[in-house]
Amino acid sequence: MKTASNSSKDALDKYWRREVIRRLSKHRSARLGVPILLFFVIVGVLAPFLSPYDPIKINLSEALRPPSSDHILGTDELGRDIATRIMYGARISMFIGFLAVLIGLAIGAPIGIISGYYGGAIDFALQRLTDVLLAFPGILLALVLVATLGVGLTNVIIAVGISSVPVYIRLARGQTLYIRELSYVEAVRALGLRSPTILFKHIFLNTVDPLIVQSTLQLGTAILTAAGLGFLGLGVEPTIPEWGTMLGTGREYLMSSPHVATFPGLAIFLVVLAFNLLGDALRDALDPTLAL
Amino acid sequence: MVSKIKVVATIIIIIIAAVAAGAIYLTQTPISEKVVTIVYGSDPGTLDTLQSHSATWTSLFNSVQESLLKIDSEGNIIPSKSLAISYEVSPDGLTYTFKLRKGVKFHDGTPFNASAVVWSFMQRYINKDVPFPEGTGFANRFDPIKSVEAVDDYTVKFNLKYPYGPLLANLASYRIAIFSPSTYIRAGGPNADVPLIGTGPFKFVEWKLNERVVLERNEDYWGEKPGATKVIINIVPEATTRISMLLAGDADVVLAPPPVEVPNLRQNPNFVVADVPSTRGVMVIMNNQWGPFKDERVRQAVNYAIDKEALVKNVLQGLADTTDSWVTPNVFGYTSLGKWPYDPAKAKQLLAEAGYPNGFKATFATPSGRYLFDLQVSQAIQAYLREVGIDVELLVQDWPTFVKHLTAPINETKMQMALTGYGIVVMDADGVLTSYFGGPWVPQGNSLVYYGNEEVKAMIKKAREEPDPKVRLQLYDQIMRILWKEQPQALLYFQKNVVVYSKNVKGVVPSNIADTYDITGLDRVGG
Amino acid sequence: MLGYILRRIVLAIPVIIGVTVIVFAMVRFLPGDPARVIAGVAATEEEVETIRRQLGLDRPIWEQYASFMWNLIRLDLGKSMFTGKPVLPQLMETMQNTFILAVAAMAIAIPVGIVIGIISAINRGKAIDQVAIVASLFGVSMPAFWLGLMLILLFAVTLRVLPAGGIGIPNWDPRYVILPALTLAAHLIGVLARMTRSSMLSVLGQDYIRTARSKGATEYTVNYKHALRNALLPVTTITGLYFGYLLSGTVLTETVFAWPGMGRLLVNAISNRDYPLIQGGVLLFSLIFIVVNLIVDILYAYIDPRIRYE
Repeated sequence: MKTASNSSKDALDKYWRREVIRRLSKHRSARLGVPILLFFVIVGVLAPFLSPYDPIKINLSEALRPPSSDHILGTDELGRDIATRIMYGARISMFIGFLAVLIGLAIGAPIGIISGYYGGAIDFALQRLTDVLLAFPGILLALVLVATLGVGLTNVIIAVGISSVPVYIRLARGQTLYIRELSYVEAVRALGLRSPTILFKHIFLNTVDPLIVQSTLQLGTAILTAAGLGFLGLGVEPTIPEWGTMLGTGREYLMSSPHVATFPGLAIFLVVLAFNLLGDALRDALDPTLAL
Repeated sequence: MVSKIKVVATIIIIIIAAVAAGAIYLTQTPISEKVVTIVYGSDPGTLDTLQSHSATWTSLFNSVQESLLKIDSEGNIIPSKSLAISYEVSPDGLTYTFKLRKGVKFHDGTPFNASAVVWSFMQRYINKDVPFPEGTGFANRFDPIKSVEAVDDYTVKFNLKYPYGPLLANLASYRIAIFSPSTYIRAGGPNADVPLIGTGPFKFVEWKLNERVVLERNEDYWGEKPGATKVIINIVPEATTRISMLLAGDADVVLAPPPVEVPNLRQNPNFVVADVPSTRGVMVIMNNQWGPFKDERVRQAVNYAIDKEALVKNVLQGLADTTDSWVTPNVFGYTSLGKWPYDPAKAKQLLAEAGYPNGFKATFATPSGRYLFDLQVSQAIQAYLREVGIDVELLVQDWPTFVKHLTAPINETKMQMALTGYGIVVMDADGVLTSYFGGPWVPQGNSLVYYGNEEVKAMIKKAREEPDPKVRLQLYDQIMRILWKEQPQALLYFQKNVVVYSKNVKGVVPSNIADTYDITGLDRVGG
Repeated sequence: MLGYILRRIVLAIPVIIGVTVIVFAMVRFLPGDPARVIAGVAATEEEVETIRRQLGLDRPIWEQYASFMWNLIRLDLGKSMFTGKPVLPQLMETMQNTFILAVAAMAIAIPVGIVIGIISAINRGKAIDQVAIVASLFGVSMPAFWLGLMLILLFAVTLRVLPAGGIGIPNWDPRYVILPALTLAAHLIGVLARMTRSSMLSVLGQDYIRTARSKGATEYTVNYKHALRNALLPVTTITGLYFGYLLSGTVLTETVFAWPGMGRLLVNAISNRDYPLIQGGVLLFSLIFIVVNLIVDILYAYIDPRIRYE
């Protein structure tokens, strides 16, 4: 009985997973977003083979060259090849995005689930704390954190990650509240299953879908927040080819050498757009009530 | 139903209030006014010029609050333009007596006389009712003055503890203005919201934080009145926006335009670009008491390793000059010491001689957005130093963190190298030499490099207290020669002071003192 | 209803107290000694100590918090460490500028965003829907400061039809608000269009709409009379919250357009370590946010009475 129901559930899961992928591959947003992301991932991974230039080495005599056959996207204010920096930057910016999202998720989701599941005083206290955190605009929170921790790649990741924690708390809590009230969880509870088991097996696993969707969208937000910090001069170390910082310093040359800021800006825009498209597609694909 | 109406009513009231608030601003400007609009990147922060961190704003405010003496670009005092019409020095160099201009009034109606001068110096500069902030060049500047006293209503006497060569240069500094005592006292003294009141050709009208400062012509000015009746200084942080405003005709003058735009602006027939060499020096400081930098050969190697000409040409777009001395040629005490050439081979050789054939590791602190292209310059220096084996880790810091990093006492400091700058405010070598080398180390003093040669320190003190200018010049020549060889800090270049303005405007003059501008002759011509 | 409102207000009090503690603590974690920053590199240790005493920074931390709270109750947010001016009037003045900008951005974004969302939902799956989706994503994906700079280059420098920055000096001139408002609106348009679309779609899929359709209601009546009204409820919430968010200042847009608003004030305060100003600003932000949250909650309870008894 038990094994039978389990295997049929597994089969259903397997089917559903395949169905999600099928739905994704048919979704127009995914068809646009995924190739853009793949392009940047490939370019980032293969950067050392695709470019003859060093992304960090300075060559002052080659500074501010417009796009040409030698430098297809031109050079920046210190003579570095912009195309090369954007390629290496794909690694950095995605790295920042993924780690920041992971931090937000790792801290925010458990808090939200526990808060929503247990309710009562814990929930009240946690929600008031979240209210407080949500009251600070994300970029300001990140700014204060970077001012506290100091400028640099690690600190930017931490700052951007922490500033997204309240978003995850809210989302995970809402989803938990919703699932908790579902009849099957009530049934498991009535059967006397221990809370931690319910928490993990029935609640956590069921919050995964909306969290995946939110995280995909949040990847874009994280990259934009990091870029904003770079714009304000509080991003990563300037030698690191992070797109936001490239755009931030490049804007000083916007009028006479627009290419220095244009291309990193374009790269940020495309990647954020692609993450948003993918997030939308995932949301639709994971929603069983939607016919696609 | 009732509450629905209330909600709608509230929304309507809010909208009306917003529109009304907008309409209140709609006031008309009289046609006869000659308004000049200036844009600058940062806010003054304070109206008390003594507490100001901004040389540029203080120099603009010098058109409101005048100094006792006025000098021309060669450093000669111009009595016809000064509040003090003549002066006398006692033979022992210990007493300076000034005759003051009669019939001058502060903008608040207070008469300008000996008691105002005495009050300004005794209360504010000598007894320091507020501590002097960094970068203002105030440190140690008033120590030699014993007292300032009124002989009669229009005669003031400065009594010195010892002969003090740079006194007149100090009194002529734009930094050292005469305040109106009555306004200051009425406002409640230091740290209060003291309005800007002086005797100058412009009157202060308003300051809106992060937005603008407005000045208007002082119709009762004792001297030659400027043509412009109103000056609006807009605060616009974004460099591209500042230039856009100029190109779009929303601004007449851009102070310190971004160097990359200067070549294009020079080509544009509608605008004038004026640039002059200034005393804004930028340098790499080294902790003289830390590891490798204890050895002067290592410090010399650092200077040899950096291609300063390339930095000036490619990063600063030529708007700076490399230097052959600690001060610019127009500063008293200047002596030509020969430039440090770019010679990486020599740098490597010196490092090897000092026992570092494979180089070493060091941290390099740099502020972000404080000095012209600071991040770019720091990155370039990092690259140059790597070429000779010095592996430098860049620490990018926001200003307060940077200041804290630089001012720790020697037993706590983590500072190894940093990019910083000095602006010579008073045209006399004493200021820079005393504060960076002659005086105590940070945090008690201002020697950021923890300079250690006691012999040189004594010589700097001697030169400061020497009344004979010729002897002083000789002393400075000796001191600077030793320091130039020791290289306690590597001076990279002196920036130029740049301004760009529309053809419709005249009388905005970049001064050769770091980051300062003279707008006392501002006028509008034609359209 | 009144009881519910009172309960919500009482619940907001611990949040506000929490905010004061967090603000107070956070500001003191910032590295860099404000007394040293004010006195500067060249000041002696003695001078720094004097400033520290003047600012009350030498007293124990709980004493500083107690006096902070006591002053707060009397609406005294202290004086800026740098300008020496009282904090509250400074905040109010910049608040006013930020308010103008926020209202203008909302005025552009609400109609545009909702219309795009509706068109997109009604034409679901068609080409026009795809275009609308991508267009609304443009606004969400574009770095705001980048868009702002591009708008300046296009409208102020090349076309010369709009001013590049400032808030219209000396006369208040509505042209100055257009570019920064557009920059801010781009993001909100994207958010609203997406929200409206998904909200419309979920409403259109519900039983009563199907019933209305089966009863022979015209497509127009279904879309606009039944669906839109209900679909706009969650959109209202988002709009309300977003307005609160806009009021707390939009650092990057304000910097690009030299708009003297809250965001810029706060960024400057952070980089000056101007404790009273940071505290006052963040406190005001939080209050705005809490009040907006409160209003949204109450409005919701008004619309959906079930919430009141939760």
